[in-house]
Amino acid sequence: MRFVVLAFGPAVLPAGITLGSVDTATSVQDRALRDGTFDGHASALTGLQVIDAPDLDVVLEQLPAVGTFEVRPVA
Amino acid sequence: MTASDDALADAWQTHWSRLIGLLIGQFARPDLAEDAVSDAFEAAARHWPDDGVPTNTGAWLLTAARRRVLDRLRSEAVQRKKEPLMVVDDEMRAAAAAVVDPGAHVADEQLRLIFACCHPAIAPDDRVALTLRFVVGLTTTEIGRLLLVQEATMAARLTRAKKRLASSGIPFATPAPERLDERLDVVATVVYLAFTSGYHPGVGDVPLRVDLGDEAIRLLRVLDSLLPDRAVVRSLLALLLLQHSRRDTRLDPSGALVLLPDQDRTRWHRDEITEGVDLLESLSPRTPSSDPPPLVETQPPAPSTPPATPTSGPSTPPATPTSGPSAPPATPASGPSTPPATARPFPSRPSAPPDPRPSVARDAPAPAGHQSRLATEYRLQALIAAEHATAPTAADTRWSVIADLYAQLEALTGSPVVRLARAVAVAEAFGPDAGLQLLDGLDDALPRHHRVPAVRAELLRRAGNPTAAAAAYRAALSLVTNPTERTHLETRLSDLDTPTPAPPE
Repeated sequence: MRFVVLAFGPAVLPAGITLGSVDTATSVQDRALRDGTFDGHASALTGLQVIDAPDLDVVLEQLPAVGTFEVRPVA
Repeated sequence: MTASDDALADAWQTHWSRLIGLLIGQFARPDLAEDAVSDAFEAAARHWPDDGVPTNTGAWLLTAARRRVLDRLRSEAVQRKKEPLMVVDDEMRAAAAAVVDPGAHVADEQLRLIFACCHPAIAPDDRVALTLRFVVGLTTTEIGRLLLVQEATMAARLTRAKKRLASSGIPFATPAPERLDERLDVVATVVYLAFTSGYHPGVGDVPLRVDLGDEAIRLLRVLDSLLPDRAVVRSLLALLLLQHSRRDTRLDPSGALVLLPDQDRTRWHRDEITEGVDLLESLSPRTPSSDPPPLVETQPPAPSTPPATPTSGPSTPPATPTSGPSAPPATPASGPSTPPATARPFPSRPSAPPDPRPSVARDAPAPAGHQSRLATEYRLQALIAAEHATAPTAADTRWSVIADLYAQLEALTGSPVVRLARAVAVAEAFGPDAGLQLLDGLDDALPRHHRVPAVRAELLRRAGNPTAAAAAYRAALSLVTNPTERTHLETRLSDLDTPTPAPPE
């Protein structure tokens, strides 16, 4: 079995991935961009992926056309 | 003013955005670039008075600013201890060796900067603020005033936006060719705001910044060559040319605003008016000579493009801004001189006589092909400006044509400020009573807007109702903040021949 642990608030995972601040977040809904974090409940989280890309546009191009996402750089 | 003060002021206007653009192009760190350029100007202010003004001020400033960025990058790298010092120094030396002539690729750098600032991942209001800061070089205070935002709020927003630009992975590049159009409306809005900021009374110590108008027009020309035949670019270019053509007559020698009807029309720039009118005709679907209409859609519209537009589409740009009553589209046709149009003597010409002038205006349906709402809006505004610019005298103004254009503009935007302007035009064309009817309900839509009662007062006076006019003037005086307009309203009120119903004094 493989588990994914997500950290919230001030918690930091040892050897985990630390996200950039909320100011670095870009939300995407069906391709439309918004400055800021996902504004729904954290419990809506359904997936996670780590992408290496030269910039935000490259990441956005890889996202499905439909769906809600939040993109943040790793701190 | 000493010579070095002059040189400094001149360098600020000439080099600010080009330096920012160059440094961001080189280092991709907008936050550092801006601080570094500010520091460089500060250093210039300290050194030039004693050491003399350098021959090439741009190169001097670029060297100073680049040194600042390198210092900051070096200390950041050292702090993080991510790389050994030697490597950092080597990289820095390589970067410093890539000397760029500050005169080269200016247009490209500035346009790139605007497109970067208009990335759809940046909040719409922030795009405008960032562009005004980076490209136009306005201070936080000036931007706040222009966008009707408190200075502290604007400072906080700019700080956050710059941080976000530096850290969220937003690329600093002109977007790929097929994606340029997505940002075009926003870019146009921003260029228009930059232009407006040059005419906005109270921005800076100088009442008019003609260079900002020149710059906005130059940027549009570059944009037009980069993306030919885009209606929004051509319409805006026409609008700005027509407005800018009056720049030399907007102020009297004492620096006071001169109203449109009182401006010396012989000093308007005819070549720019001609170019603006020609541009409008090239956009019009009915001109006899334009068999091949603007070929906006000849390029295959990439299938993915239309659905993608919402990201930056017509709803996002602060086209119907962000800001309130003083935003540019609101006082479109004649810029700062619009409001006082009410004050002009009333030429009683109920209907426009047949007029031989080229009728670019007639009615303004959207030309065939792709045409954003914003493009239509700019085009209607430009047509209004063209009517004013081509009228041989103020009394010859074809107010019924203008009234019709404002009606179209109001239908498009639903803006109460446009309705106010329309009421003025309708009154000029068809008499004060017709204008007064259009004012109904505007007090609710524009509370605290002194121009609604001011226009009503003027129209009531013309309609022969001095008592009601006096009441309206008093209502306007209770709302007005601008001292020039206050004086004007007080004069109008005291000129009224009324029984003076118990004035406060």
